[in-house]
Amino acid sequence: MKIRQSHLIHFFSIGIFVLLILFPLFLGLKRILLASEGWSFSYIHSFQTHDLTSEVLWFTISQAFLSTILTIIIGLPLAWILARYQWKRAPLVRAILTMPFVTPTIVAAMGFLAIIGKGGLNLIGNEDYRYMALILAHAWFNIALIIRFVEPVISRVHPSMEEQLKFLQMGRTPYHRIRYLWIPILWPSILSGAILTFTFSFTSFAMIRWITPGNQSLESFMAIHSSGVGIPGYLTELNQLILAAFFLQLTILIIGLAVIGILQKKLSSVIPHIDEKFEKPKPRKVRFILYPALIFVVTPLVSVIVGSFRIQDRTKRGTYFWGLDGWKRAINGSYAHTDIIDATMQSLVYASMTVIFAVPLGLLITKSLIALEKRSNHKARVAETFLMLPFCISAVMIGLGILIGFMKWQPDLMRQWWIPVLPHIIIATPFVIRIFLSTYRSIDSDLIEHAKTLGLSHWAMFWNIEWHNIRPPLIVASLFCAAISLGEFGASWMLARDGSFDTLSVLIDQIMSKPGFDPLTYPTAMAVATVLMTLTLSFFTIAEKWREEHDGGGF
Amino acid sequence: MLELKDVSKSFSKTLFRNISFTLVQGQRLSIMGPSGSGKTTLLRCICGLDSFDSGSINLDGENIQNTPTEKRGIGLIFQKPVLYHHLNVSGNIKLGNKNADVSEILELIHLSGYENRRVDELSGGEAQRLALGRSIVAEPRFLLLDEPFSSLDETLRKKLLQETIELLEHKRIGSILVTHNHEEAELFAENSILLDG
Repeated sequence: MKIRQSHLIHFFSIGIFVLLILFPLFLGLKRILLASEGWSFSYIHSFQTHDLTSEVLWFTISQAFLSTILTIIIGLPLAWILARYQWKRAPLVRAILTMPFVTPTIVAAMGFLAIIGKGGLNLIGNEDYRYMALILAHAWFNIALIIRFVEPVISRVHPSMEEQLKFLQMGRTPYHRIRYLWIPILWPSILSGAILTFTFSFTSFAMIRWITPGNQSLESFMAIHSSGVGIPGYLTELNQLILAAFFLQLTILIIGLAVIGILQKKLSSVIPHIDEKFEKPKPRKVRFILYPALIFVVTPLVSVIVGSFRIQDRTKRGTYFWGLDGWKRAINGSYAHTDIIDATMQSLVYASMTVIFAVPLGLLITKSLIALEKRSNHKARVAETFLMLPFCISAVMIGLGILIGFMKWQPDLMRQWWIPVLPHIIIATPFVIRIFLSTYRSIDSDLIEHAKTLGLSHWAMFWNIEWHNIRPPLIVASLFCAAISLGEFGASWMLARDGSFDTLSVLIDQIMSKPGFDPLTYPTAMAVATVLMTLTLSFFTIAEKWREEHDGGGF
Repeated sequence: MLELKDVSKSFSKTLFRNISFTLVQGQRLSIMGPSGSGKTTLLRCICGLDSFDSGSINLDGENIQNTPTEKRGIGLIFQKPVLYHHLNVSGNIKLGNKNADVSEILELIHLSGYENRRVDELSGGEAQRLALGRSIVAEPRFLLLDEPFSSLDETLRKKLLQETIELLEHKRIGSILVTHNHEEAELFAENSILLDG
């Protein structure tokens, strides 16, 4: 393949994905701008003073801030234990602590609802407890983020770095060692994890919708009112508010992503590269931290399963009995547009489609980034930042772009079953890229250069060098993609809510939205959530197993 | 005065048994032995990073077995120089002593003008010089050197060894050098101990 031709392919693959992200957003924004009668910074002021939205920004920021603080408090000691000690079951503990992050957010919401609900601690009637449950749920969901950011950094600090400090005047007390060693080394990774946690809590939708339904965040405000916007001459003020919400959210998220980019650069300069391997001691006195953490992680998941069998007595309110009625109703589907079997099949079809498109696209983009890195590291960094845009443009914003930009422009698209796959591909591809990037960066460049001197073609090099290395991450990326697609809620809820193409996560929302008292609403929703959770966690478990055994790339 | 009396340590096998010697302020000693003979472990026991099974270690007549590492007044230089990458050369020196005259010590270790240099830009010899300078400004009474020059080429190793000896004499710091190189051991000190594992 000629060099110019290969450059074109690289440029095309990156360009097409950036377009896939930006084009619907651009069209959506254009329509909302039209319906808002143009842009004005006064919309932001209106947003803060309007009856409908005056509380939204404060609620969004405050809950995200508190969630971040709690996540750090819980996550840091766990990251420390996992990094500093080695024991037989450490990989299992690490996998369990990562489970919340891959659990669909709607399942997490159901889990916490089951805990604080009438069949659980019965705290659901109090708004303050609901708020606390939301903060806990966000911390629960994001613990893995702090662990994944901080643990590798602590692991790379050779014991001699702390030992050496003991011989120096400025390292003779534990305070000094924290001040002069641990804080300078750890703050970039802690702050990176904190910013991402803030971002995810900021853009949380399913949890806010179901745990604190009396409050709205910027994300839920945009999602809930999305159907009424983008029509010129109709609800102009609402369009302006949505535009302000969109602008505010995008600004905060882009700043967050930019800071993470800077921190990652800083991080690489503070950690020395030490080849020497060292033995870690067995953990001592950590069970007081580890056991409660594991119980905290597992309880919401178990509560979902238990909740599917707990049925409130129709005649005696407040009393519960055990039964399979929730499961029976989930299977016969008499309660919603579709039944659990159809929704499972639909979810699996979407997951397969996402894998089919996102994995090759992610692989091609990764190869393009690697090629770009060799020519211009700066350009590669810029491209990588753009490719990570879906991390900072939330699922609802992507859904909003597709809904307003495409579907209101071409109403026929509303009936196209593949439409919800689009946001799934957009959301999953950056994960695929991250998984492949670490693999490609670890391939010995000597091997490739040697192959070139032997006159091997591009395809021969791919099969003989790359394929051998990318097989494990290919499987990990596929499973991860499928899990992300299965659990995706925000965009799917916006695009597939007419009952034709409902996924499991949308089905849970439909069941829970049923008006009036019905003792089977909760158990039925929990039954569907149990199926969704089992599917997602199965994919994740296989991926983790594969990653452990074959080093399937990093994320 | 640093005094070891019948110090022994086992770890699945006997590492060393009944090690005894006395070292006065300003005196130098070499410890030789093949890999796995317990040289590094002995140093770690002396400075308190590892414990030993029997015997005693006294500093000026006081048993320091239960004295924490940071309070023994003994310094250690690791085989691979441990430098803190979040600090520049000057910051690394200041870790040893916040009141240190950085220019003076950099002159002593032949790194004048390196104050603001990033430590990952230093060569192997420069990094080990910096580790040595940083240990010196911490004003230890005794300094333990765990094969600090082993990764350097022979010419540089000899040069750095000579510079280290001059620096230790200048500051009157007692020291122990662990090495598996006979020539280096003889050059460093008149007295040496052989650990044969």
